[in-house]
Amino acid sequence: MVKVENKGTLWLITKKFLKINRARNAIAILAIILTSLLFTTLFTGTCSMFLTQLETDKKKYITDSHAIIQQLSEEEGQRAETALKDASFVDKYGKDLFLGISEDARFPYLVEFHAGDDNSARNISVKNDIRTYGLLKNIGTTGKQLKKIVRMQAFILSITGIPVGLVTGYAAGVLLVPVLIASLNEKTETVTTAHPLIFLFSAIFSLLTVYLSILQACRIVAKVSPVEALRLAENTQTQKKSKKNFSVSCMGMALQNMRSSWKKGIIVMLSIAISLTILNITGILISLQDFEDIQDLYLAADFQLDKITSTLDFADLNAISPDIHQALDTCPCAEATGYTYYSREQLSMPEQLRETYEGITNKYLDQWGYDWNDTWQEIRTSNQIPVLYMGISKAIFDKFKWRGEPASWEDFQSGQYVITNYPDTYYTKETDYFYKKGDSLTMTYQSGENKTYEVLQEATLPTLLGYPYTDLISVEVYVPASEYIACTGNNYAMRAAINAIPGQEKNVQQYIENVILPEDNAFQFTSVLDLKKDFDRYVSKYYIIGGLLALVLAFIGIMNFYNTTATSLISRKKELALLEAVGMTKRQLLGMLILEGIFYLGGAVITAGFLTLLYSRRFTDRSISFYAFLPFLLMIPVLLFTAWAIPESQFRKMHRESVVERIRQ
Amino acid sequence: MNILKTTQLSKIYGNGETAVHALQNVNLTVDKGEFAAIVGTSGSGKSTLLHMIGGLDVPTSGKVFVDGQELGAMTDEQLTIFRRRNIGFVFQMYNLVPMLNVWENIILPVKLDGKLLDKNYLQKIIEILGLKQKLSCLPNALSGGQQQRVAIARALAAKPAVLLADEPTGNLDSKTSQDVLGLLKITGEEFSQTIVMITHNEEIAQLADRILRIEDGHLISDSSSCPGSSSRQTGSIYRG
Repeated sequence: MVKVENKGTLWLITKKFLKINRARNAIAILAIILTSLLFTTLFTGTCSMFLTQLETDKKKYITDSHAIIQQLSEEEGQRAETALKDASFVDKYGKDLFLGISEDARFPYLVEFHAGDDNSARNISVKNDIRTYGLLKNIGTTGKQLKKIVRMQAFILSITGIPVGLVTGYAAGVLLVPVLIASLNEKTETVTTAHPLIFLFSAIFSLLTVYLSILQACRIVAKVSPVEALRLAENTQTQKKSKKNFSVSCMGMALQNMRSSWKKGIIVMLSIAISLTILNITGILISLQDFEDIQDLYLAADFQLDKITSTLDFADLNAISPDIHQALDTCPCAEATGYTYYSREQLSMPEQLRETYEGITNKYLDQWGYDWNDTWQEIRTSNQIPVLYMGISKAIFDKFKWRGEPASWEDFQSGQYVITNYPDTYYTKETDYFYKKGDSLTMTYQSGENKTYEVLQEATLPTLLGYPYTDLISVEVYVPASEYIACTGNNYAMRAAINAIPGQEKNVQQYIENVILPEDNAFQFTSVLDLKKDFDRYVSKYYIIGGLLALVLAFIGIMNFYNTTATSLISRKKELALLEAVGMTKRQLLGMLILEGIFYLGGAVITAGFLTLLYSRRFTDRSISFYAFLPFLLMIPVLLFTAWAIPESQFRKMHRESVVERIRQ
Repeated sequence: MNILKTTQLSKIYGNGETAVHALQNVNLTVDKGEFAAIVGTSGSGKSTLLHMIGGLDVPTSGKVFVDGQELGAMTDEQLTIFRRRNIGFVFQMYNLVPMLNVWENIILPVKLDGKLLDKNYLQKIIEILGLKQKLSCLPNALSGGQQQRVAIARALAAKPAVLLADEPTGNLDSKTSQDVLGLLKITGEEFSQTIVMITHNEEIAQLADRILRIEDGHLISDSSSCPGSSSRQTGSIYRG
């Protein structure tokens, strides 16, 4: 192969191609900016989230240990380890290498969707100029040289677009990180990074995307046959005319045009349809997030006060002193306040209870693990079973889940009765029971006193109001609070649950925060208002992510639409001018173009509707509220506007040239 | 010395019953410096022959030699390079690159080859063709005759072995046609340039040294166009 020096000439041709394709360049540069923007945002975002996570992890680590040595080199680390080993006052030490992984799996989607888009943006470029490329080939430009010309154009467009994308992408990343992090975790300071590698990688990835997307254009150009190019040059008009049978109505012409570029049309429709579908899915997911579900999960009342921690070792099960009790009772805006008292007692198992547990342990001991076997053997030998003995007030009593007929508070309050739980998680058959209604139950209190009660009914209490830990082999026995205090002598409650008068939640929270919490900072205070805040934050995270995704996709779709309209207008410039010359008015022409746009975007809306329907069938058990589709409905006028505005602006641009000028071309 | 030679050249489009024999066993030689016209009616196969000779299209069978080299043995890439070095084209539609000005269009084949420009030679061509004042114009600012003159200049720029002209005056009025053909002949003589021109116009063909007739894909006659000389069956055409 002869190596020739012709860079200057190729460069000249490249420049000329760029010069005659201003509109295409603008579209391509926008697409490139978007690509590099996405990459930079992605890299800035993930790196910053990674660093933030690292910072959070470090802080967590510090708070859990008494002392910490950080950021050591390997050698320093070894020295520190030796020193720690020898030190007599060090009980335990650990070493750790921080290698956090960002939890963010959302971004790659954006990139995938985008890579698909660029192709169409760049294919038009060579199709418009294919005749010129053919001519160049006729007079001796080789396929390789033509490819080079295309690549050089892409390169010039890239070095124009990428820097803008890097800067805006970085800005977007920096803005986005705190939002995303705040929605994940409230008390974190964000760390953002502007490491040069981020920009380097973003630039390389963007350039790579551009080069990948022009592969096809290069192939088309390199393959253009000289004879074909001659025909294109000589017979452009006659060929077109013979192929088409004109329909005169706007509708007919619009449909014909769409048929001729159906592939591009499908891409336009799909990208907008996917964007709309994501919007719908976001809406559906959000509308299905019912605060009451969450509330049921985390709160048994509007407010809860206790000193229950995640492990029993640090919990204080006698947190509510009589003073606090008093203060809570006088809370002005509270509707009802309930208390649960707890102490651990034991009783001798009657025959029935023993049999029930024999069956349950037979079935589940393997599953529960070794420790429980020991516990069961002990209980069996001594015939003494632990009792989770709880005193409850009226408001708590109302939350019982009854087995059979609910009992009345009045009967219960008499002090002659107890309520016992029933096996609702582990049982050999559903009718298993510990005590039946009417059985007698004898408590032996720690004071040595015995008392025999009648079982009023079987019931269980929500974990959020009762004993919060797992005790697999035990019986829960409930008595009224007064009976509890009288028998145990303990007037400190385990927890309080406060319901506010509807609408007065804020006042109750303020009261508790001002009057009760300052007394003791070990209190765990759960508030419906705080939960609501968390919930809103969680929902807004959905909105942000779904909205951003939809936005990017919509942008891509609209760019594609713009592209298709522009290309179809350029390629039909002469044809449209001829139509105008023979008497089709501008209004009619524009009408045809807008109709085409409406078909595309209408198709997208219908497709999105269909996809949404398919998706929402997963949620047959719930009705999806109308509000879920509000963003989607709001998008429809926007799309209609787009369907009008883009052809209109293109058409206006075309009309800067006279009919005669356009026919001559 | 022949610069162009075809042996048993055939081109068939399509196959089976719909096959069209555009060229059948065409044997043809053209000597260096000769100005040959190939005359035929529309559909006779003259354009196909020109495309084969110019390496724009591939024959179904037979061979084409230009300057002693067989075109069929070359790859697409090699052929393109060979074309820009050895074959100059003048088309009916001029086919100038619309975004390049006259000067850039003319020097493009030379530049693509990475060669230095022979400025004296180019200036001579430009002078003969009367393009001196138009060098910085874009093609769409020129008349048809002017565009065709630029195309001739471009075809000559790389000093090709053969200049192929496909109905070079097909789009021009008769006065301009005369001018352009006159210039084509003058430049051909001035630079001893081999020219093969196809046309359907007998009158135009008379300007050439030699006229070959083509009909239904066969070469049917070969004659010197010089007035007075009788029709000749020379060794340069033989029917296979």
